[in-house]
Amino acid sequence: MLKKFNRMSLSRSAKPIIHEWRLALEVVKRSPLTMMGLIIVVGFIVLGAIGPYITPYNPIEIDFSLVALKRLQPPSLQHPFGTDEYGRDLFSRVLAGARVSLIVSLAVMSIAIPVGLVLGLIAGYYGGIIDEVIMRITDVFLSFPGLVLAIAFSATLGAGLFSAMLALSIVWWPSYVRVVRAQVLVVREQLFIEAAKAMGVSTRRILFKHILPNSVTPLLVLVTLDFGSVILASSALSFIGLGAQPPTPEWGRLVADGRKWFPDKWWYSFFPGLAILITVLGFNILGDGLRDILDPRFRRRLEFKEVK
Amino acid sequence: MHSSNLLEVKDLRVYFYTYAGVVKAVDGVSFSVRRGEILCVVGETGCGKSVMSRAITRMVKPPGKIVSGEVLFNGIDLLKLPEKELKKIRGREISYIYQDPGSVLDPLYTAGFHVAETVLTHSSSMKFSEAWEKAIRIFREVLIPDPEAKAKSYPHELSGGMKQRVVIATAIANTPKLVIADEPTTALDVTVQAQVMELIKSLRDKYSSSVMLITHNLGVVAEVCDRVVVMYAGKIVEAAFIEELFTNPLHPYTQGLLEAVPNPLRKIERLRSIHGSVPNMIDLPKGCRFNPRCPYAFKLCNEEPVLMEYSKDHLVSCWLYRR
Repeated sequence: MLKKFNRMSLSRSAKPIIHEWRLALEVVKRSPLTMMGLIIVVGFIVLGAIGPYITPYNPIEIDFSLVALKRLQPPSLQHPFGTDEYGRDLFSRVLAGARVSLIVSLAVMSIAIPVGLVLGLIAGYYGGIIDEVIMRITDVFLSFPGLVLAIAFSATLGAGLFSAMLALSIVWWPSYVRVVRAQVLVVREQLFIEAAKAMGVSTRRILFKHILPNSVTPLLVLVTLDFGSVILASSALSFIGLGAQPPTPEWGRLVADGRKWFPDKWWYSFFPGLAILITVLGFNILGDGLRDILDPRFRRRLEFKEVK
Repeated sequence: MHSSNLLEVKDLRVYFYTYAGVVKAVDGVSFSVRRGEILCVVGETGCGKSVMSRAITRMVKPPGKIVSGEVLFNGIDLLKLPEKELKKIRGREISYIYQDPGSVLDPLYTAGFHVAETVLTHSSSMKFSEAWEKAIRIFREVLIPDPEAKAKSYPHELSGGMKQRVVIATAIANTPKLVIADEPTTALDVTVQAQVMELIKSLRDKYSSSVMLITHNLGVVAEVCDRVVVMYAGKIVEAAFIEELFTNPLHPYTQGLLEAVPNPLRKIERLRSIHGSVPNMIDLPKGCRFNPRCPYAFKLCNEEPVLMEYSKDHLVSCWLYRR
């Protein structure tokens, strides 16, 4: 242990950034749960990227010549997750569904995060009437249950994956505004912000180069947790028929389709549901783990252990 | 436009509008900083020194407000200058050194970055690599050992004294005409204090810029200052050259301050302290603000004294010296 400590303290003075990553890795290694979350999330992303190319069967096309033969088969070696009522391989469909969920969650986040960041930054930094206006609008959004609001938006926009993404983006940004604003309120009072101002650094530069990077840490945890929530919400929208439309292999949609045959043909709903469960769980435990890594108290403990 | 005064502050008033009432943190302060001199501002905690220094470049945060006054820098009134023009002065003509070097540096950036950023802010045509090289040159000037490596260090990897040197490097990056140092040595231990003061003094000699040094440490004052301004409860009570002040302190408050400093040459049983405490800034005593604590207080002290000339370059605000 002593040898290890020496190595770590050496690397710290020489290359601080590598030390940070090493420490993070060390924390992840120490917590099997976080490791599991990381593996699930990475697996999900990889499958989302390459899933549609490695499916053993075509996940969308219906081979009408085989429908009668393959219809609703239980899991077997040939079809690990069984088949649906059109004889399509469910394993292939679930695999292809990873991409849909990945795209939806990425799209929602890539709209919600920048909007939340910019509005939170402006509200927190300028304060006063600007803050008041932004936060009251945010409050209006937050006063409705997110999913209900998303259903309302997506129903208005018309059923479809695109409108589901849009609806989820609309309901997702307000929570980020709150988190970012709260953090900015803390950071802008720091002396180094005043010092930067006293050196004539422009307001925009102070906002984006000093306040923003110092404020995003709590957002990182929230975003990780929210990735799971977005997947869940988009599945929920699809489940009630508002999100992805057939034949798109969306997990929530698959669960809804399988419901007709439940519980006799349990695999139809079970496996897509399991995919949702595992993915969301993976993001959640990774988020928890990240919070631990970013929590200085937890890290202090770890560094202390290293000395022993 | 070449008067001997670089900075002239006239009747500056900074009030804080709080729920408890109006705090007159700086109430009618007038003084000047001459070219190339080190001016010390001395006073107790909470007497308005820091607020006054921030007001010079309009850095007072709400609920604080600059109510009135003039801050003439090279003849230009900074309080009337548009924000855009003022930004060009901050960090280039007037720069600050703060009390706590630990929190002045952004923890996410390297030491060199801070200096380079200040350089780039005021010369947009410069490339980052050039600014970085300049930062290393300045690091060498402020006697940071191994400047190349230290420039790449993050603030948490540097010691307090080293951080303060980085802050000083940032302050002098654009060779400003006026450096405002707000208790630059308070957070440092004694040996480092001396080094930092020595550094500030040598930089003044080199660039012939003026330094406004805010401190409550009279030892520091005696060490480096040319002229001293004594503040009490938001007002200036005495201003004089250093030798004059130490040999002939006029205001009872200044006398009290000097008696509270241990002097190895004079053997005394115990150090004197000034009775009472700093007045409540919301509910100030009537007349002279030092009145309740003053051993010489008499009837006239219920009226407010003005700063008057006792002899050339020696100003005092006390009824004892009325003519």
